[in-house]
Amino acid sequence: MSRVGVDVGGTFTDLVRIASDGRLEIRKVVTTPADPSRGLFRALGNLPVDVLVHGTTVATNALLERRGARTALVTTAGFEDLLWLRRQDRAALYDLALHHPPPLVDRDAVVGVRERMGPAGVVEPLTEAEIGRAVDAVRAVQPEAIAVSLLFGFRHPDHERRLCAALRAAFPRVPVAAGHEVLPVFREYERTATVSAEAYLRPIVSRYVGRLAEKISSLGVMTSNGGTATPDQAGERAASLALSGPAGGVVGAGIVAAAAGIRDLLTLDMGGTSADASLITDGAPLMVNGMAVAGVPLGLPAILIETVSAGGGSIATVDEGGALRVGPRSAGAVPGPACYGRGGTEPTVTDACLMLGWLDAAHPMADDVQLDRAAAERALAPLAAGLRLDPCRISAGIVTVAAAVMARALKRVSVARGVDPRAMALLSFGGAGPLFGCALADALGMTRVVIPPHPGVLSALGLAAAPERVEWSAPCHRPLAELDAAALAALFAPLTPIGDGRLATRVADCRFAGQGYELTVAVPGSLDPAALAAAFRHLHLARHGHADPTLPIELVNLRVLAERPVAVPAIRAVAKRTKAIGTRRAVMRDGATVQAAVWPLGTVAAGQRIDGPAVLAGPDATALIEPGWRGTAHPSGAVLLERA
Amino acid sequence: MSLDAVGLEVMGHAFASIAEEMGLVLVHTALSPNIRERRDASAALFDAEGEMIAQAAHIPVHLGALADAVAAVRAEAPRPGDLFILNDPYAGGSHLPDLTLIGAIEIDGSVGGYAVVRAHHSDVGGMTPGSMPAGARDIHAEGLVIPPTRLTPDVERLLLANVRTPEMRRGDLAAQRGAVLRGADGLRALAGRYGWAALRDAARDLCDYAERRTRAALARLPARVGDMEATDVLEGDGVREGDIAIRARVSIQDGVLHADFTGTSPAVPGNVNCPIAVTRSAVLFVVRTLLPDDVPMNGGVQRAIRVQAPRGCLVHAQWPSAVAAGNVETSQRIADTVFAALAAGGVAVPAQGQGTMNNVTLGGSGERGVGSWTYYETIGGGQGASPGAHGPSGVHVGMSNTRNTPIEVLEMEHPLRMRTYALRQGSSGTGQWRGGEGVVREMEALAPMDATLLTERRRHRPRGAGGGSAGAAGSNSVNGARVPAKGSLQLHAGDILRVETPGGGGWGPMKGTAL
Repeated sequence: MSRVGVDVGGTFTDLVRIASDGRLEIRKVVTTPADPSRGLFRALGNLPVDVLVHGTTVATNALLERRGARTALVTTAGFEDLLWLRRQDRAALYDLALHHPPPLVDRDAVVGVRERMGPAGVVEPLTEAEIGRAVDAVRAVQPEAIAVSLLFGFRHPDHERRLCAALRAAFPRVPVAAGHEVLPVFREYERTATVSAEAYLRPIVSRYVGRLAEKISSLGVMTSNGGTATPDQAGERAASLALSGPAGGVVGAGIVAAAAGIRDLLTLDMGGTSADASLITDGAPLMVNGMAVAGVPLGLPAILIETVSAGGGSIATVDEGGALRVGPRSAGAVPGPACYGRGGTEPTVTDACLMLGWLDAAHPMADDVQLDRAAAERALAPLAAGLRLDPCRISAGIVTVAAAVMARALKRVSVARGVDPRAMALLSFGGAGPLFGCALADALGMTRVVIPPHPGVLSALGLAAAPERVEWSAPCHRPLAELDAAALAALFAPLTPIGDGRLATRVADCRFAGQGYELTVAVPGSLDPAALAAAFRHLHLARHGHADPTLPIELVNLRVLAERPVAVPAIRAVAKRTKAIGTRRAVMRDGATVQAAVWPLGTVAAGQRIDGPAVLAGPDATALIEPGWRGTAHPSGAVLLERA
Repeated sequence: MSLDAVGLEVMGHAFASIAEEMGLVLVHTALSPNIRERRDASAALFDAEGEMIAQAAHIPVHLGALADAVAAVRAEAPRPGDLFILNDPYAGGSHLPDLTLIGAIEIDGSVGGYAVVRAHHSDVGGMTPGSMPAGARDIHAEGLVIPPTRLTPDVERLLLANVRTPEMRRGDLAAQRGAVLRGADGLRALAGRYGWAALRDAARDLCDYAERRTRAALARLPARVGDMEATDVLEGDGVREGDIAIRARVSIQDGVLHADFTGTSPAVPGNVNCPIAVTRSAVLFVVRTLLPDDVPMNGGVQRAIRVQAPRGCLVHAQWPSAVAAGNVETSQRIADTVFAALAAGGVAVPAQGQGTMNNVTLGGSGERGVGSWTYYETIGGGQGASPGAHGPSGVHVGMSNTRNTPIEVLEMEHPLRMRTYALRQGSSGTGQWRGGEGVVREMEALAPMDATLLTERRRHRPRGAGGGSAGAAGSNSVNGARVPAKGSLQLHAGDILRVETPGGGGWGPMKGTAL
């Protein structure tokens, strides 16, 4: 049985096929932005496929470029402006002219309905006449999708249900998304924004996924929470694809690390314009119940991903106060870094890496891009002159600053969440990510780094090998003290999947009564409320530094995570190299010039020692082992580094 | 050690991420809607000499004023590891509901710096629930006054015995303490990595860097020195109705901005008086809007600012003047006045925004102290237009940037029902660039309660600039009848309180209109 993962990125579409004997086949083609499926099918060619899992940016790009459906929003009368009022904070603290990105819905496509639910139920009934009026008003909008989000619909969905039934009957071909179905949790702004995004994305996601499903019989789509959805499910949970691509990378990092026996790690995906940091504890990515994509808050479960504007294409400048800065401006895919020779003239992180000898001009990049060292040097010259440093010193500065920016994202997913990273490993991937593993580990006080065997296509590998993962959840909002084990069992019963071979884990989102944010705690097998309370207090103390034993605890949501590990054959590394293939002069971050051994990335024999300084050069990525680090090749194909 | 171009960036990120972490701990674990939903709170890190190293971007009026809080604690000979609390506006505080926790961070056996978390607690005692009484005539009527004091369990018991909602305060204080401890841990970890001496030097270099950037930006302004004067007014103090003048004379010399408030009204009997820390904060805010976005916010920015105001005047109030609205309303007008002075000198500044926070404080005592509750919110409005951009609608302007309380949270926790929450169409000033629209917020009381309104720009409209027209003035009403801009009143079940907030001024003449 062969499994294929396809990750469509901004520049390249990556494909990884795991054959039934465990061999990997890797393909990289140029992305076709107008219709990403063209690049996908070109990469696929006539490869035999049993299962294909896809990481897609179709939802993300529709949000970024505001290319979704014309959406009508049906909401409680008197509150039609909710999406414009947001949470009333301004877009920037000190830039008084800056606006938030506009909502996905046009203001003239909002229909207010006379009805009202309160915390205890009906305040103003919804009449049949009012439903008829609302349907007529929606018809006048001529929507391609409809969002229904009423106040307190998360707790009392009756009015939403009746409106949805009438709208679905009146507009059978228009998708209708409702708050109580998509996101049954409190906070009306975030819920309404999420439901609007769901409606806005459904047509474009259904069309795209439907077209793929016609040609690929067993298609899965990665969702923001690291699970996979069938094509039908994806059409009903379109907004949950917003972080489809980055989620695949985190899953892939988890798989590669697990193969090397590592279950606690920080991951960093370094792309061309940005870097995404994430956290995996005990083998599972840390989840959050909300994120924002393109200025749209989405209150859906997602793998925690913190993004900073630092990537290979980030441009270096010196500001008027004399600080060297990297990003947020980027040379992007076009024109790209100066050394790509495609018209870029400003110095980027990639140019600095080439200048330092971390990258090799003689070693072509993925799509046959030849690196031009002279062009990099020309781009760096003005900065070097301004700071009176030679081009190598300035390049060392650029990579150091880029690492500091990326380290901040890593801190946001670890230290800021009360997780101490020092005992964890760091896995840095993407084409340039493995160049920064040692620098980032140093910045966080970490002493272990994992260099994955195929860092440039790790997302596609993660998609190919991802377990089938589904999640059921239900709002609860009950004091824990009111419940005993039997009551907890009864609450979980409707969520528990029927014995279908999946491993189910019960978790609860808990908080101290009155708090506004939850911590997710594994529910003990005994369903003993006292044990659950103790586990929550323990976690709260560890994460936030306090846990009042007298404060009552509230159960906010109950969730069941079901995972069916897929039968992924053991990935066989073709690993037999026991000798370096050469040496190269390289300059380190501290400015020291060293002779670095050059090894082929991904094909080093298991058990082989590689001490820094060394470079591991592969077809899709390059890794750097800095002086003071010692590497050992693992049978899985990864190289594990430790501080010597 | 002097930081080079690389070190500046690296250490800037390292310090800033500690302040961010402190803010996250606070918001994620606090109990009151005012802190966890509205985020009426701020976190910052200071060095051992009391200069701010980094802040999490939260509320402008807090952040400029925190240096005075650290100075007040340093005067008490803090020992390493001590945790202080204060709210005394005349000893490092702003107004009484802002409880500030300050941890003296132990590094190598001595005080290596301070972790500071300020949060607005929606009750600290005093004459009305919510502790923002409109009719207070001295500080003692506004609540419990806490000079810089070590926060022992006994002190906490004393504090909780003097507030209407002790359980919520206890939870919020625990969250605040957790945030301070996180800041201390963060700085210690950094000292462990880089060495304490190097870290201290890095903090100083970062402040020097911010000062260089600030002075360079100020020196570039096309300001006509000598013309930079302006006067603006507050609409009464909650005791008397008449206008109260704020006068500012601004000059820029060698990249340092001098703001002199000589000519400002003396302190008044009501609660709109401002401690000097808040005045400095408002001037700092104006300067900050003139700087490039990437200048780090630390004590170096403050070094390029000099503020002068006669003792005992409205903006340099002395004990025992009442100050509850000084922090939230007078601070807005000080910023408006300094902006207006700069505009008079030829500096391009936006038209006036709503110029008020529209403070609404509600509370009920319940039966014999059981079920008593307090609630505080501020409401956004129109931002003034800028040359080149319409003013954003329905946002906080100036010295606040708190979020709203979700309607669903408000109604689940308090006997209130929201009837309308909408943009106030037609309230913005016109011009080549439109001002932002104000907000309409109309709620029904479901039980008897005390209400206090502290609002401004109810008769003087936010001015347009460059030929743009003024935004609409705001209005407050109960059951359709106008009520004063500032005042305390009783609401009965079924009463409807409606607040319409001001629109922002427009910028530039309308197309086709001659100036």
